[in-house]
Parts: sequence; C-alpha cells; structure tokens
Amino acid sequence: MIVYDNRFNGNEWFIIAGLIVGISIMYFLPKRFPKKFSIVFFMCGVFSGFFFDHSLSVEPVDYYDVNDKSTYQIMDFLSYISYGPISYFFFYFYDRIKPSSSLLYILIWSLINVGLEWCAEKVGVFHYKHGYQLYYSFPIYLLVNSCWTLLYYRYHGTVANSNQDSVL
Amino acid sequence: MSVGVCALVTWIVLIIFTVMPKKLSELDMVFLYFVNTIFELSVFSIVHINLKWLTVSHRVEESFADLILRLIMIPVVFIIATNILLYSWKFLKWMILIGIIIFFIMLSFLLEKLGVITLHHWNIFYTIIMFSSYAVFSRLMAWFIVNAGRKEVKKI
Repeated sequence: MIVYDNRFNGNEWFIIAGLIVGISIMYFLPKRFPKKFSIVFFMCGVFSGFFFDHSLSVEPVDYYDVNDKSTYQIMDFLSYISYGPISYFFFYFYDRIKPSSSLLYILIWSLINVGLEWCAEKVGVFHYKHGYQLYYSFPIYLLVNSCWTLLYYRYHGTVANSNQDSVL
Repeated sequence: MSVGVCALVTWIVLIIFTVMPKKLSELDMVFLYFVNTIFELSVFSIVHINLKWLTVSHRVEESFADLILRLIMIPVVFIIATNILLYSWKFLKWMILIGIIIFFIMLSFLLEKLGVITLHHWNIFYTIIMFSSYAVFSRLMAWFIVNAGRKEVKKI
C-alpha cells in the first residue's frame, strides 16, 4: 500500500467543496428534465468516474492512485460522486444552449474536464504513476462526452414526450 | 485462455440479455447498469484492495479477463436477474435466481483454476453472500428508479 498523505487537507477539501458547490448549483438551477432523467444524467458522471478509474488505476496498467492512499477509501467514493454534477451540467447546458456544433461543445467540455483534472492533480486527488500524463486523459474525456451526447439524443424524444414542461 | 473464456461467458450473457423479454424500460436498465457497476466495483475493491481476502493476477491477460467480467458481465447478469424478479412467475423466478448464484459459485472456481483470482480468506458462503447482496441491491435500485418516474407522472 502506498501512502501519499495522512492529513485532512487540500484534496479532501477540494472534493467536499466540489460536491457542495456542484449539488447546490444543481438544486438551484431551474429544472429542465423529469426526475428520472436527472438521476440518470447525474449517474452518467459517477459511472464514468468509476468505470475509467477502475480500469486505468488497477492492474495491469495502474496509471494512478486516487487521494491519500492506494487503497479504496470513503473519500475516493465521494470523489466519484463529485463527477455527477459535472455530467448533469453537461446535459443541462447542452439542452439549454442547443449548440449548432456538438463537436465544438464536446471539445470545450473536454478541455474543461482536463482543467478540472489539472486542479485535482495539483491538490493531490490524483497521483500519476508509470509515466501517465494529464494530456492522456483528454481522449478519454472526448470519448466520454461523445457517449453522453449520444445518450442525450437517444432519449431526446422520450424526455419531450414524458414531460410536457420539459424544454427539450 | 482466461481472456477467451471470460469473453465467451460475457458474450453468452449479452446474448441472453438481448433476447430475453424485459420488464424494465431501456432507461431504467441504463440506470441499473450504472449503479450495479458502481456497487460491484466498490465491494470488490474493498474485498480485494483493502481486506486482501482475494487477489487478482497482475499479469496482463488475467487482469484484462477480470476487467471484462467486472465491467460488463456481472452488472449485466444482475440486470437480467432484476428483470426476471419482476416476472409474474411465482416459483420459477426464484429457481432462476438460485441458478444465477450457483453460476457465480462455479465461475469463481473457474477463475481460480485459470489463475485470474487467488482466494486467501474466502469461502463459498462469502461468494453466496456477495452475489446475493448484488441481486438485492439491483432489485432495490430498480424499485427506486421505477418509482422515481411514477411519482412524477402523477404530478403531471
């Protein structure tokens, strides 16, 4: 087991602050989707975090560790939950802006994601190993954001039919 | 060998999932896939990384085989199990669920034989408890997401 840090410091505050700010903004933003869709859109981020962290940060590649120790901690779980508001905002603003170019929207969000990961790495949420670099995450974000866009269009008509108040 | 076996098992599971009559909507199943994966990976991480009750091989082929099962096969099996639990059959659905648990017991023996996992402080009852808890969790989450939609329909 690798121990990077034993104190409650930057990385823990970054995750907690991110969660509080993200969920607060989600709560106060005007509702655009039915509850079921909001839950799924939130879970998209949590799932993507789990999926890629548990495939890239474990053997055979083991490219990084999350938070203070290489073991699985409650703060790791909270860090994955904090991806939830990010995916919700992705869908929310996609629905609100209705961008003429989805590719540009995906590109901008991927850059935002890389920026957030850079902050997280600086405060000690991520500890890269075996030569992993921040920019390796960029194609992963492109892939994830593209999948989210496909998911949005898959349910585009369904949301509109299930809730007359929806702006979709 | 291990990747071939795990890919074959996963492929069979996906075929069963594709052809079976489903009780849940597509969106409900997307949600179930997400939460089942999260729950299963969390439990497995605690058992494997924190408690070290079992270990996954560090070799590329075996690790990759394990990932195929954890990220695709196991969550999909519990979507199948949840759909079956929603059938109106009284006796058969419980028999199928017991069959699924027996399938996982046999699969853990197979994974050990293939060198994918090594069991240290583990026995058959832990396997039964772990996979039964996945089934219960999946059913509870199905109840949650179906009701989340229903309440809103009433409001409208």
